[in-house]
Amino acid sequence: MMSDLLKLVAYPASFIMIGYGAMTILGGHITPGGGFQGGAIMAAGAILCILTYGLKDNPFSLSHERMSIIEGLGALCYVALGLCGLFYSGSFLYNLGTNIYDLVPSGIATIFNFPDAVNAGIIPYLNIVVGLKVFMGLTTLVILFYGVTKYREDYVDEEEIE
Amino acid sequence: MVLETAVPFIQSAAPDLLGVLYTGPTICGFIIGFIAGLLMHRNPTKGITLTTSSWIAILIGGVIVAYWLGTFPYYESLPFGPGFVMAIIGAMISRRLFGTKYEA
Repeated sequence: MMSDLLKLVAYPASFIMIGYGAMTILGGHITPGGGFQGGAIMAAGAILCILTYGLKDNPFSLSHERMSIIEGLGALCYVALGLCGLFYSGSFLYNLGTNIYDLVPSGIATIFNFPDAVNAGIIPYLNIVVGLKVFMGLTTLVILFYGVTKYREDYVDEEEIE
Repeated sequence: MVLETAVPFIQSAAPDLLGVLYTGPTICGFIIGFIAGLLMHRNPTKGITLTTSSWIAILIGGVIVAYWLGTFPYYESLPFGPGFVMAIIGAMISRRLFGTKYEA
């Protein structure tokens, strides 16, 4: 059973972790970071809540339906961005935003360019969708590991260990 | 026809809003936080109950952390990263609007 202090701090801390993970995802094209790293940081926030509150009284609902939808959406968006590059330029995952080979019209390049101070194109979008997928995947993994501990007495013999 | 009208509008909005916030990190940070908030319960659980003042304190704490983290290279319009704060705001909003109902 976790202490009250931990229960008081864990959920607010998870919001800070989600913000930090989002910032890591969004800066992946100019700082050491990106989709996987940011997604893992966001998952750490959810995992902190799983370890503190358990699965039943968790402020995170961890609904299988929602998590699978978000994870699938991340994968689909990644493939969709690749197919857009294939459709407009003939190369899968061609960076339509930067358009370094001038294969697409400027209007298409403007639409797919991430609006920020540097010309990164579709890289930040790829980071975002990968980050969501990693967030869901790692959280699901920990849920499975945490859920299986309730069956521990079935497969671990305490007398043999002692 | 659609592209001819849409592209100037997009170019006018990008890369910055109001001359201070960059469009990309602000909006995408909000979207990422919004998606994370969809996984939360919208009503208090047995694990923890937070009041309105607690949420405001979390937001203030997030702004302070964002200030000390600083901003990315080339994004020098604000002293803190807007993506960080917008992710927290997005999580709070989507939790309140679209969060699942907790039943004890």
